[in-house]
Amino acid sequence: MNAPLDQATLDDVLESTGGDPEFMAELIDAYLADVPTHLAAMRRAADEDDATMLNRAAHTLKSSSASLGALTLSSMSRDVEELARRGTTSEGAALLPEIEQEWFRVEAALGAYRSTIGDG
Amino acid sequence: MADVPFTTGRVLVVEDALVNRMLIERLLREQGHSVASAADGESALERLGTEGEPPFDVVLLDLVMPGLDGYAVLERMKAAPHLAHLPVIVISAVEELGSVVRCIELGALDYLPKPVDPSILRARLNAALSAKRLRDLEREYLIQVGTVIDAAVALESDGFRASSLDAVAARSDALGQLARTFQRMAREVQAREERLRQEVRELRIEIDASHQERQVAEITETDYFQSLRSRAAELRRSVNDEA
Repeated sequence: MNAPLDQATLDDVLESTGGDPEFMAELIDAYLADVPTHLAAMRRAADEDDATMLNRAAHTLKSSSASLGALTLSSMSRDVEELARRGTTSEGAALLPEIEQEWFRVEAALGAYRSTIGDG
Repeated sequence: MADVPFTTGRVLVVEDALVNRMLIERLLREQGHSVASAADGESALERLGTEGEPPFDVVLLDLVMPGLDGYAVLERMKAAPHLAHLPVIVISAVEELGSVVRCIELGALDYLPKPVDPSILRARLNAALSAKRLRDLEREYLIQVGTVIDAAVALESDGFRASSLDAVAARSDALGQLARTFQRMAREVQAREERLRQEVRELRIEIDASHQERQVAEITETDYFQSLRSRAAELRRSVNDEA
């Protein structure tokens, strides 16, 4: 199983944003608060058979996750996005439990990373 | 990359994903740009304004957004005369290159792959800002050429004010030289005209005086006037005799 976070991506983000742990913590907090809303939107879109909503929520989860090094979650979200782009939700919906499991791994790993970067 | 000279400017980031928006804003500030952001297409158009020069030098535009998406924002910008010239860099995932082609056809200048790489961001923005600066300079040049043409028209219709060329004359290039020469020559022409007008006024006075003298002479030389003068002299004499 791949690591939930790509350490090199996180290091690059920290360095390119001025090496400011406070900003990094803010960014992680924003991501941790944001992802559940996209997961909920994906679940609702599947329940309501709304392929457009599923596509859009998966797209946002994909790009946000890639930015913070959650590459597996990003890749899984891209799969859902592409399936939903075809206009159906059932195949994408079938991937949601896996995505939610991956999210728990990312959430735990990011929480651990956040506690190592020196901001409370 | 740190040795490559680059230009800073005012950047509008249009991105609905909070984390990406925060990250891009921060990267831009780290690179010295002034940044504003919008979370959707409608807010972006509001920030760009409905008329006049927009308060930004370049727009970074995400494509997939709820409501008005990136394509719609781009189309509206290109249809609005005050925004059509503003460089737009589309932010797009690598697997969406087909969308990028569509955006370039719609008038986008360039694209930025997601996740955003700071070096690529710097390079693309630098190119966009340089293009914008060049375009702004060309636009200013054409406006100032128009000012010189207006001055020439005004000179012919006696409405020329030399100060109307002050801004153009302050340029250090050939257009500035032209404006300074034009100002000097126009001032000389105006001074010469004023001298001529003064001479004409003086000539008119002389002509009027001469005309009056001639009229007096014409009257005093007539037989009738001479006869009146003789009668007046006789009358004066008889009055003196009686006294």
